[in-house]
Amino acid sequence: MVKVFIEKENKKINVKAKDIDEIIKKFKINKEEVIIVKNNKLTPRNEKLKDSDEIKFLSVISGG
Amino acid sequence: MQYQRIRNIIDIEKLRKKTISIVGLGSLGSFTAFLLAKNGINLNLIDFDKVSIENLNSQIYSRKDIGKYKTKALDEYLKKINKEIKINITTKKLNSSNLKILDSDLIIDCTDNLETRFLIDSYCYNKKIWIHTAALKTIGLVYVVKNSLSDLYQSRISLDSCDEHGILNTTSFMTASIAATQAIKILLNEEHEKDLIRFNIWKNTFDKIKIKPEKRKKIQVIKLCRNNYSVNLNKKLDLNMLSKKYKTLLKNNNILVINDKNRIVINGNGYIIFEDTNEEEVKKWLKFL
Repeated sequence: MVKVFIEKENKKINVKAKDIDEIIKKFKINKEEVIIVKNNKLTPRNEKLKDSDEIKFLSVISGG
Repeated sequence: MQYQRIRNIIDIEKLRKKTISIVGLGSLGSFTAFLLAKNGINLNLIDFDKVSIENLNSQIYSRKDIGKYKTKALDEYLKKINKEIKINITTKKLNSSNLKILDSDLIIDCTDNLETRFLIDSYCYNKKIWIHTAALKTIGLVYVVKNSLSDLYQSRISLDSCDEHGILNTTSFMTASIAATQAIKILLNEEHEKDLIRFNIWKNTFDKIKIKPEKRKKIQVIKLCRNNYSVNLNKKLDLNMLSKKYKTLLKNNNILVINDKNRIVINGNGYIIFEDTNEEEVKKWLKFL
């Protein structure tokens, strides 16, 4: 299982997924509004996943 | 005497010879300027906006400043807290034809939009590091940009960054503190933070995110707001040749700003910003380059 955090919805879940794209589709995440972090590293959305990976979908913020 | 108690922490004499440009004097910019001024650093303050009543809660200004330009109000305030520093103000919006106003020892981006941020990025690319900051509600981030901002914002960004978002003032102050600390370390040639720092002050979470400069096989066109596009070709461009061919608005050894149908900001290392255009036009240009 992969640990997933979707910041916008404050959702923490464990899911089965082979890559990040699968999670994006499953949870209908707008990929243009997030940066994707895998195990504390910024990562592209086509990245493969393995059990125990931690994925965070963090909102792009722009205010100042 | 003023700096006696911090002399054993930082080289204050070295800092007093330095100048930092702060772009955007809202919540993040006004607090960052305050902290840097207290540490004796000269400032180059850039903002086009005036103080309004909604700014009072999350920015450093007070009621008597309402209606004044932020540059002027902040200049007056900072002179009261440290009369020894030099302050230069520019009451204009940073745009592609006035990029030279950024010239200083370090640039800190405290703007509220990605359009201006990518403009700073194109100006600094392969020339000097700069600091990107942003905040929203209770989330803040600071990233010392060594390569390019497009390493962070890899995909198309649909966010309407010009919207007005609320920021809890404690978020801005913490973001400003982290940014000012990194700035001091950079000016003193100390090792600065390489990772993106991102926190939520409400939830007490603090992330350090590793960002690897990506060497992409495919050239990526990033759409910014207001029909601007950013492209990195990762190759040297002949700015002299281009400046002879097109109407030149600005040129130095690293940057060329030309006016074709629209404005184009070209960094000699292949980083280009196309302003107010569309993807078709960008692609036509890329064939030519």
